[in-house]
Amino acid sequence: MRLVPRRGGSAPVISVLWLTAAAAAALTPGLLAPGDPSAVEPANRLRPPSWQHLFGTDELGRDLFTRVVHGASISLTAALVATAVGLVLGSALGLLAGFARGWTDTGVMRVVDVLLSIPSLLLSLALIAALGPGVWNVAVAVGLASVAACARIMRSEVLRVRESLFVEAAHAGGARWSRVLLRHVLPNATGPVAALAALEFGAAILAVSALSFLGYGVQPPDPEWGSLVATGRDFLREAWWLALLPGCTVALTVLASNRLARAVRP
Amino acid sequence: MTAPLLRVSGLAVRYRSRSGDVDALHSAGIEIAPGQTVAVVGESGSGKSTLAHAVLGLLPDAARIVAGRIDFDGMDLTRLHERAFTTLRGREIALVPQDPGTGLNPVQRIGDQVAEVLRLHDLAGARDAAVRTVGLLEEAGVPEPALRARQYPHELSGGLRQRALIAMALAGRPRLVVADEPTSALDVTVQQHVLDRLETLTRASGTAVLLITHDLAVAADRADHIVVLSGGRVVEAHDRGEVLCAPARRTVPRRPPARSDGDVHVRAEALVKEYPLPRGYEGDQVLRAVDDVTFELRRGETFGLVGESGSGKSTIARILLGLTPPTSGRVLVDGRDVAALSSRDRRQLRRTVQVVHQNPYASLNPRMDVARIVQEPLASFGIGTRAERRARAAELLDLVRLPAVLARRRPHELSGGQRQRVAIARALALRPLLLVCDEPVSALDASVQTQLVDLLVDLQAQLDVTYLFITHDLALVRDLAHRVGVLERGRLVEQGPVDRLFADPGHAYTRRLLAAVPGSRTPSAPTLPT
Amino acid sequence: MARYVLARLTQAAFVLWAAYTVSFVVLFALPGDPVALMVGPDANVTEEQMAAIRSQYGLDRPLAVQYLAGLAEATRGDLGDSMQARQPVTTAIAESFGPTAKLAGAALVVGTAAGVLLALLAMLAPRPWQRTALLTLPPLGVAVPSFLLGLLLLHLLSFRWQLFPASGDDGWRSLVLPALTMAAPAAGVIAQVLAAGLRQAGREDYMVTARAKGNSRPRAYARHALRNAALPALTMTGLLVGGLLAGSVVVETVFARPGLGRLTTMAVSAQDLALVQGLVLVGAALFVLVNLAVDLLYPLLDPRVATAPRRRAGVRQITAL
Repeated sequence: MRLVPRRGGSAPVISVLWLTAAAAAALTPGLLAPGDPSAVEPANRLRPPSWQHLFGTDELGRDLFTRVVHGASISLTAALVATAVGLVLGSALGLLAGFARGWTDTGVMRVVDVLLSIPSLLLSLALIAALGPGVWNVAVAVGLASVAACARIMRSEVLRVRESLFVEAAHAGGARWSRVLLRHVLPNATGPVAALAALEFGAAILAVSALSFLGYGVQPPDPEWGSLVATGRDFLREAWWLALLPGCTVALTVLASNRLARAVRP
Repeated sequence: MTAPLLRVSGLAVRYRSRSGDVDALHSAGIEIAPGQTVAVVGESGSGKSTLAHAVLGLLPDAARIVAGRIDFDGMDLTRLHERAFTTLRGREIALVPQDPGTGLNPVQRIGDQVAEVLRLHDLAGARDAAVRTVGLLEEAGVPEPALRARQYPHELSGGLRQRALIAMALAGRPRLVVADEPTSALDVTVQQHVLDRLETLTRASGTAVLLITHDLAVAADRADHIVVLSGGRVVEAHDRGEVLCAPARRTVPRRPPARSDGDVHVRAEALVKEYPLPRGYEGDQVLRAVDDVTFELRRGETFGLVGESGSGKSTIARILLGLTPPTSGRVLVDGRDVAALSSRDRRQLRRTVQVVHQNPYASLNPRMDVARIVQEPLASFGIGTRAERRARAAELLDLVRLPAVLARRRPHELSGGQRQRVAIARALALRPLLLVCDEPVSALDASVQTQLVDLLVDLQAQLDVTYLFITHDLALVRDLAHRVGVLERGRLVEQGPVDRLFADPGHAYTRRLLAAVPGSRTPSAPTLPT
Repeated sequence: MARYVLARLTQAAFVLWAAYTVSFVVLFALPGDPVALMVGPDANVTEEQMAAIRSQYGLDRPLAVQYLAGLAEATRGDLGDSMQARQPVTTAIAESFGPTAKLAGAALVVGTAAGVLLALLAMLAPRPWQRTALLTLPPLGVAVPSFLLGLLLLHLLSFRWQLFPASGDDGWRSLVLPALTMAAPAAGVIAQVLAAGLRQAGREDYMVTARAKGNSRPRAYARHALRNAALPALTMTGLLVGGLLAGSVVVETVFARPGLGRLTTMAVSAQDLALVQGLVLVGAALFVLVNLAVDLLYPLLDPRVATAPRRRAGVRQITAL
């Protein structure tokens, strides 16, 4: 995998920078926004963005920028958990189907096709209905809903590499299955899987924030991007920044990981 | 002499790319008189396709004409406005593209695609165009033209599609046809028919032809005048019948004398391979790709297996390599039935049978460097220590005459010929007794082909290895095989010593193949300068 | 052809059955007590009352019995009763179907038109910078969350300039903002797939042939590349319609419209499992129906597919490819 993308000019670089900043916000929020995200200042209610309050203040006078920075931790961790669940289970199923072929392949892919026929947000919602609300349930629900798509992509990747001539050459050279898998198939599948992971991460941020926006994620006092938008929605008429700026943060993060996915795709 | 119809003078074309500018043509010049056929011959990268596209004004976005003129009928095409050029294309200058498989729009009927030329240039109304299309297809040698006009490209064979493309090119009665490698994707017998038809039609209508080809023999057969391009420059120009200064094809075969004491090494007995076709509506169908094929390979000889595409030659290779089981029949190695061996014995047998694939781009793992690729079979069998394997890899690279500095390179940094040498080195790593060469040079330029054939011949003399050499190219077989088998649609129609087979072919199909080899019109077929 | 349709219908029935099973496993077979969830932890309900509710909804039967009985009723078109709305699930869904269908239909039309237009313009714009600028739009449509786009449109077009109403469902004016919000991701997906297809087609040899015949560049794209490029985009339609249904959940919340999306959020919040299952089935059925339509339509656009099953049988052995 090439870390410096071959094409696309500066956009991938900016994407990496943005994601690095978001990761820094998630890991050490105090570095970017030293203030307390829940410090209430009734005198400073609903102030528009200014140098002092980059993103303005909310209905209780809390600094919105500080809340968005501190919200990164929950939003990104939940998205990461969702991606990990989807990718690990999906890859395992895809590898199984791609390598086993025959009945196992048919069976696994039938199930995958059925799961794909249910819109993924609807499937996440059904899982939440069963598991109950809460940010980790949301993360798991989003991850499980993406298993089928991951499995399908992984399987087609395995089949593509498996059928390539250099794998046949390795067989002709006497390599055993394990060796073909470890030395030839997997190294040539890392690029597409990295791209898939980045793409899934973007989709997971979208899904998690949408479900939080609908009210199934964190409960109000804790900051989280989707729920910040949901709270801000009630004040859209008088304080647009409350909903739109956290929303833009979500959009830019999704855009950055999608762009990165495009850059690492071989 | 009449004024030329097309005169290209001092043409230079530059490609812009991220890694810098590349000049595809430097001051190239050709002239074509009305009704004349001029061949431009060159290997890949010689600039011949760039020349063809420049004449049509269809250079890719990255390319730019930096100097020179293209005069066509008194106009300088390099300065012609795109809108004016659009009315010229198809009407005055037409194209017969290279690959009939991809040159036609897959979702449009053949007839509509031919008629489009007439409609675009207002040569006919809708109904009239349809009628004339059928006539044009018939002229181009398409049987049942009315039926074919209603069909889609995938329903036609490659030869028929190329004829449809010829009909399309000639529909506007152009004065110049640019034929860009018109038959290099076709089998030799089909190639001959298509070129004959193109020649007949253009001679009859007095259309000039700019024939682009990599095959000097085709050029010598068809052109009034031959221009050889190399590295973007014209290096030679000859009129028809002149003896080219390039060395004539070797008259003495390169092959070492076959060992008379060679005992039977591998015997393929009544091999049959059937593939199920995608399930249709009525019952299961099978495709019999290999049909009752029996032959023997003697130790130290080269057996050439010749056939056109779809003849089953690659399937036979896969069966011998143990990559696919035959439907029936058996393979005996040193008298033992391979299918009856234990899996351990079969794996050991693998060491003695190795392969060189056709496509040097796909057969090497892009993630490994050359040294590791060559060592890979040794590592698979756990032969030697790490240091010994490395030493053996260096030895092998030396054997296939690759410089040692390439050991650290990855496949994408090598040329096609170098990659194929790496593939040969890998195949030789286990000191095999039999090397299956599946079209090992057909993806390469002629001069590189010659070098690789020389290498293979020398290696055989040195290592006493048996070759099963699979190819569609009869000329190659004559150069290096001791015995030849001819495959037609899965059946081995004839086999025997190479000299006998070429001098006195027994089967009608073999005779057809021999007659279709380009260069047979001229007394001594030339080869490209190396 | 009839056999093909029959085979596809059987397949569709299988997918629906499997979707029923999957949703049953997710909703009813996972550990957890739907009745306890429904009444909530604080509610003052006795064990007897809980048991009564369980038996009323048949939740006290063994899982296998619940599954088979539910499946048998589902095949007769009865998806059980909604605990929350206190009416049959099918009635609740039928009442909400209209507004969402109207919204999704409008979004599909707008999204497809915008996507196709964007892709074509991006390929044919005369200047490279224009193409680059146009090509930045589709990724944006996919990445911007619909709650953000919806609120942005509300903020600008409804609150600031007061061009369209902010909520409700009366007349076409109230449809504009939600339909635009829902159309954006669809347009983004279509434009990306189509632009990739057009770019691919632009490199194909048949485009050189088309230009050499005397087609201008725009004409060659419109007449030859577009139809080839539309094929992969067409196969996306099933996913797209499913995406619109899922999008209605957010969009109907943002614009406070009635419909399947609102019904879904209410069902999930109230953990009305029968209703959720009904909605999942509607999603799957829609997907299956759209894909069936696309599959039947596909041969009309791609002749290579049409003739494949028509291959003459009877010849048991074909020796040439």
